[in-house]
Amino acid sequence: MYPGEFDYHRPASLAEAVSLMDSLGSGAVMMAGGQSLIPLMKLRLSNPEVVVDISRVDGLSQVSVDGGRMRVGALVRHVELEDGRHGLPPGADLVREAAYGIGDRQVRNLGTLGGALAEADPTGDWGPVVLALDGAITAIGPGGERRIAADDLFVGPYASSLEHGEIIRGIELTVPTGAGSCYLKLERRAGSFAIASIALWVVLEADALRACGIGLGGVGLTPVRPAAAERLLAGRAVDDLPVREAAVAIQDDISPVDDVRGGSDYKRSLIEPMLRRALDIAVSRARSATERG
Amino acid sequence: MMTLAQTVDLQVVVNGQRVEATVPPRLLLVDLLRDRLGLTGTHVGCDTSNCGACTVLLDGFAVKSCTVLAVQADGREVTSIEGLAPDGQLHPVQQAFWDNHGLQCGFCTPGMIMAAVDLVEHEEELTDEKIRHGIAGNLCRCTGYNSIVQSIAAAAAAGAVDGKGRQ
Repeated sequence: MYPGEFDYHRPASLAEAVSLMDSLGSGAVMMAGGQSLIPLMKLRLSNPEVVVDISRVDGLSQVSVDGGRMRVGALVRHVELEDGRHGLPPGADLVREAAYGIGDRQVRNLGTLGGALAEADPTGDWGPVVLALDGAITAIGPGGERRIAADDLFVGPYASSLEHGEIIRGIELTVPTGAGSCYLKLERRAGSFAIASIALWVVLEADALRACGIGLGGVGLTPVRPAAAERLLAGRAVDDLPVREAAVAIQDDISPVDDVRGGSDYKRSLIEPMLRRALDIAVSRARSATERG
Repeated sequence: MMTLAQTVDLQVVVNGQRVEATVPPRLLLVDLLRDRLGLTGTHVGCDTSNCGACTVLLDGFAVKSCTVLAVQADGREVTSIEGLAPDGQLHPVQQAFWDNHGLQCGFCTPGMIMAAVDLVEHEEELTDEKIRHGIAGNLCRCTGYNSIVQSIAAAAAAGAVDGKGRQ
């Protein structure tokens, strides 16, 4: 199997990449690691006239961590976040764990955070994380640079609010001080896309859950941030969290589809046990963080 | 304008040797290795990025060469199974597979060994769990995984190897 014929460009700078995408028009696609695009092209599900390989664009591969704030260049590869080789904010287990479950090591060695977000796969692992952490991306296009909040990024299955030719420059994530977090994915086999997944962080205050952030994958046409459930859990006693109530509230925010990974009823039934398990882990991690001071 | 006849000149260091080639952009790295360079030690199993038989090192990191364009390797270093034992002396990971019966039919072995080299070189404290996670993208249809995991653990215990896949 091999892709259809296409032209190939490999810009060295962001300006060159933006200008190329602008002049080449709608037949051109951007490729970062290529770990989703190349399989699609081999299956001839994607037949671009031109591939613009942005993997060597300068200045998109840095990670900076400042306290709880993290800025990740769009070309940072999953494997770099999995092993935290550039450092991660305290409490950022959800970032590490989301990276850990993506594809396999070979895919994580090439696949990038920016590429995955631009692809906007509703069962992908990064969407729930950036939603839960209230993240944002910066994107640059012919019209200049803009900031897109995670809440506004995902508009449909494999559809983001990026314009054609807009390139993700970086991703900003903030892990709240004192947070405990986790990312859980139910999958058919190691490294598969999610049947359902949950990214969650909590911050505790004495015996109460002061605040939390939740992102869900696999249970809608986009990754979902269930704001009502976050509000229900906030301020409640940690030992008596209204998990069932929150899980019921989430049912209104999700729209799982019947597919090869499971029926929609099955996916709905996963919300409560996954939320419960994620809360247990995140609360326990937040407690350890508090004990460590 | 689109020109279907476009070709790209590339330079790749393959197993330590500089290779120049003019290729269509759609040529896959595995086809560059096997068809153009005759390096048939890299196997094509599933051709869909699942089985890992085609795994090679790109700048020292394991990638699936059926899911990498040859042009993506331009200016980079590729190591295939042939590059591990250039003088006929087995690489420590190959030796560990030999010593621990890490292969049965052998089809998955080149990819399995290249994935293992990446792990042994880049991962600290290579536990069984880390090894199993690290080779999750490599399928062995003989299901000889336990011996494979033991082989990789033995290679890791035998000592570090350098960034080019050679000791």
